Amino acid sequence: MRVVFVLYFWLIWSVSVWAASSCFTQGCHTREAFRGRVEHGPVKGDRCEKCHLPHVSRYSHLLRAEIPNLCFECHKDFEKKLKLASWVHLPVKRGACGRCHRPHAGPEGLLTSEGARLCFNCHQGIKKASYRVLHDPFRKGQCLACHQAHFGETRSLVKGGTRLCFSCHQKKETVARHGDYAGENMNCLICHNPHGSNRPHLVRSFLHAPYEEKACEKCHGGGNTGAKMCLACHEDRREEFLRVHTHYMRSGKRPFCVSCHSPHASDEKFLLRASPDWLCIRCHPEALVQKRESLHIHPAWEKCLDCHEGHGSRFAGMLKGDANAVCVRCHKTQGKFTHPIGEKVKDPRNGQTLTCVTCHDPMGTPFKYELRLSGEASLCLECHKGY
Amino acid sequence: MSRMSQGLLIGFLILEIFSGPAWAWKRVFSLEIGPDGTRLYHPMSATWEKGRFYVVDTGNRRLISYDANGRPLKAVNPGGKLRAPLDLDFGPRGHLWVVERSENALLEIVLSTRTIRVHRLYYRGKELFPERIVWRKSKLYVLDRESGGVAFIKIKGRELEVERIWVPKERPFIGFLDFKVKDEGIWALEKTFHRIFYLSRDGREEIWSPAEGLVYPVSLEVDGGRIYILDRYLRKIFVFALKNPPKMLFSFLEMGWRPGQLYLPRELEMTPKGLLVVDEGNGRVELWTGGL
Repeated sequence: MRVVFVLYFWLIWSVSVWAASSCFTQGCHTREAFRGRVEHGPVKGDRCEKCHLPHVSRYSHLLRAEIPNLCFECHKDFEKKLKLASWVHLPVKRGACGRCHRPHAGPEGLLTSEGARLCFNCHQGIKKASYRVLHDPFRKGQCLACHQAHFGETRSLVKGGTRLCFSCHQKKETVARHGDYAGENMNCLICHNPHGSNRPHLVRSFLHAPYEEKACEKCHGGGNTGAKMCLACHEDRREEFLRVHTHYMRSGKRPFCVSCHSPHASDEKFLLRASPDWLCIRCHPEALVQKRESLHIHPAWEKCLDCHEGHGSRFAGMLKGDANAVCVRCHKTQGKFTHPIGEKVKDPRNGQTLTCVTCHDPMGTPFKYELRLSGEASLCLECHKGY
Repeated sequence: MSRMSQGLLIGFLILEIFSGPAWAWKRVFSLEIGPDGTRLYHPMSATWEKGRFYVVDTGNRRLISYDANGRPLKAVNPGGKLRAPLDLDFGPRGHLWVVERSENALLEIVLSTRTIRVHRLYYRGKELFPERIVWRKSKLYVLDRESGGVAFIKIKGRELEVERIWVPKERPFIGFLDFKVKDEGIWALEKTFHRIFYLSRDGREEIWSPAEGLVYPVSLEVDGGRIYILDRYLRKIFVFALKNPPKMLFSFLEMGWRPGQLYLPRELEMTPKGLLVVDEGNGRVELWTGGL
């Protein structure tokens, strides 16, 4: 019986060795083409069969399984961590390991190109930014000094928030420089751009007037807490929150306003803490879900505040006006010449006024022109049963 | 063999009945038209009181009453005071209480004398920001957006006095989106994290794991050993067994514009007549009954 087992395992081993050897010995593939500074484990041992089938496969490159399942067969720990991650880098989420990694050999991490060049293949906007002052890791193209490549706790995949900054910048010294209101748990990125800025100390472009005037006591010294801290000066904004749909939120000691606005400095108009598509998504992941499930989205999808109010609105979806008025501001022709819409035209399905969003969903749909159903027939047949 | 087939058939039927309880939910009627024949526009809330349904027709700035069969009875805007009404409930002495957003106040409407009193709520020097209200056993509970918690309020003479605000000890805490007051305690749904918080009558606080599979839950209801959660993005009502972590039993309803479908749903409210589903987008409130 033992002899049979030994023979069996020998047979498997010898077939696999033969299979690997044959890839390079039949004059089709040269070993050198798969060599590099760093080699993928199976390549190192000439074990091509770990990933490829020799004859036929339903997957390209004669792979044994679909990517990333094939990768997860060995990288099991990675798969486990991935499932628990809060935010996942999009190529990872899509299982496109090959977007960043080579399968056989390459530089450190088997990356397709080295350093920031790899990241800038997709993150073009960051590459183009021209700053007078650059953060050292950004200047050196060391994206991974601050970011995680696969997944992280925040959408920007930054390693450990403010703690990360203190790994290079002395904590005590840095906090002390920020005066009485700073704390060790302060979020550096609210005021500093971690890539670069045109201001000294990487301070962001737009400044809150009291901060610029160094009049800290205007906000911190008035004895106000919560939203009153802001509304004491911005009284006119209060009315905007007193609408049916509102972003009025829970305030602790800090006003809820700072959930979206930076009280000191920002790279965005209105002192927003990030561009709207990043900022809004933190609380509205459903918009991102819809975008990812859609084939057609409105070209201004990322400019949430073009169509939606930031503080409050009496219209559903916190739109800036009724669902016709908002669209017609840009789509002027359709405002004059289109399928009948407006107060006098009612949707036979629910008796509500027909608007642009009755047929279109700018947040994203599987259909052209962001139609809610196929424009070939099914959308029209929703109401025009006789046709 | 035939016995086996019979057994299989019976088993299949049982499975069909019990695996598809969504079937058992039946739409009774829609509240969608006012007494003057006009459609509701962006209704935000609905409730049941003494044999009648009441709907806050926010877009048309009115409150509408319906009989138990869904026939519209009366539409009112007392004193023209309603500009952005959000929620309503009946308090002691049959007074009607309305959350009026434009004034950040509660309106106490005395129907018999046709008078309105405006109540602004303060607690420890801060003005509250009411969103939803529930009267239960002579106590008013208010969902307060300022603290994110639920304020406990009693009537003192003609005025309201905030006794305390329940804000969970757990951090981070984003704030509640909806809450329901039951005999055993208060259930509340947290925004963003989708956690369910429970506060028992004796002050014990429990955090229930977020119910899985939800995208944008906006309202909850607890009844008959089940938690009902309305998802505004998925346009579905998810039904969970009332245990921690909540185990999903089934979901029902779907996106659409026809009766029985949801477009922009906002609130769930269990009444003795069934489950009220307020759909802001379709401009209607539907009554659903059944559910195995």
